[in-house]
Amino acid sequence: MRFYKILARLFPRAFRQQYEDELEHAVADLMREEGTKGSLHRARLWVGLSTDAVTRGLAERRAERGRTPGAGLVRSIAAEGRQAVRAVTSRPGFALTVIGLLGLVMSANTAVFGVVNATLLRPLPYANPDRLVMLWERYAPMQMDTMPWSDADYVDARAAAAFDGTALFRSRGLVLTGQGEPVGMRAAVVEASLFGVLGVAAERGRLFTTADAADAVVVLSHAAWVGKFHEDPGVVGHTIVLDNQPRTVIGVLGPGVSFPPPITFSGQMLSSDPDLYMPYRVNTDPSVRGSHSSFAIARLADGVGLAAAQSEVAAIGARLAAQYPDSNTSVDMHVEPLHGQSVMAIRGAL
Amino acid sequence: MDLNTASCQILLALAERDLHGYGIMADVLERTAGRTRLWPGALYGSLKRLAEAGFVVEIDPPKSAPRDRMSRRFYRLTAMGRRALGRELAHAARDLETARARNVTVKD
Repeated sequence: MRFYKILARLFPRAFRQQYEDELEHAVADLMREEGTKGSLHRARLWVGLSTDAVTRGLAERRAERGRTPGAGLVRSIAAEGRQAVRAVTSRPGFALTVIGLLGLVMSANTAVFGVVNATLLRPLPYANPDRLVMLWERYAPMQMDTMPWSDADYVDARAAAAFDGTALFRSRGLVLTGQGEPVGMRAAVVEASLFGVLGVAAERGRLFTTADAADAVVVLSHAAWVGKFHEDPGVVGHTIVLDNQPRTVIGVLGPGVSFPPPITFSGQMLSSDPDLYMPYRVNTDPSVRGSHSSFAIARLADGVGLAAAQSEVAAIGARLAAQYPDSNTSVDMHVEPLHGQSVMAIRGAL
Repeated sequence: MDLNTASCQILLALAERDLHGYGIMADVLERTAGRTRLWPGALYGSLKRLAEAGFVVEIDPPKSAPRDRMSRRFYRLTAMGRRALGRELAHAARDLETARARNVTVKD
């Protein structure tokens, strides 16, 4: 409803004074009656509401200035242009607000469709995605249910027999230089085991091995290979410069393969859809437990259910809390299905 | 005042009983089998013009309205609105006859 309150500002003040409560009642009724028919239906409703607010809001503003919407169907383009210029120059603040809101609404609509399509309709682009889980730490005193991992806690948790494989990852922004204008790139810094856990293969070249962890190598997303490297067939083996460090491209992922999917943690959205992947060096020093800045995924071992995995990581969390009271008192661990986490992230955004 | 499709649908919804905004939206959606959805902005923009033209009036919520609807505005079709709707539908009916006479198959 907060989003609709923003949309409602497209209507002129007098119209809002008269009908704002009614508009909000109608939207609340609409969501109560139809908002439970699935995420896709709810997304369609929001697209319709956004479009309605933009088109009718502007029409009401024109009507308030004495021009009935739809009247004078044949108006020259030049006359419309002059009118637009006068409107913008006479009330630049309002014009900027409308342009901003139009941009917001259009990008929101595009984002809603894109994200719903990518996350809710298509299965996650990994092998047996229903066996993938996110691992989280939790710190109840601060009500942090989805706290990132410290490397040392993760090293203990990944030993759980419930998992067939685990991987630690985090996001990072870098600047690509040496290819014309400097370009910002989004990177996922991932443990070498990640691609094996996901069950994905390289389309070109190869993916990381544990031997790569200390090397300056990158794997490109398919989208970055197409968009930023112009589908260069010789890109594998090529050296690129990221944050002034030369790194060798060792592989390219297949189309549609991307990690992580949209995931929220502690009220924030984890950066998804990276341009490239870099190896993560896990800090195995058991004494460094206070720095929580990475995320963890795991694949459940054959025959292991979510409850069994939950029970095992909870026991590990309790053991660490007893063993390292300075850093781990009140810290426990839990597992959540990966797809459910993505859907929750999208629901929150919608 | 010329009646567009949204206005006709609103008047037709109110021809049966007094309704609040969402009640009108729901009636139109159901009656048109989902083909016509009145979004809130279009609905209240149309209701504003229909009220200015004297075709509908705002009324107090009926005593039979559920408690959570008591704060809503209800609308009632006026005699003038009923006549205007009748005229518009008569035009539509004439167009329908013309279409049939010209071998246009009229069906959903």
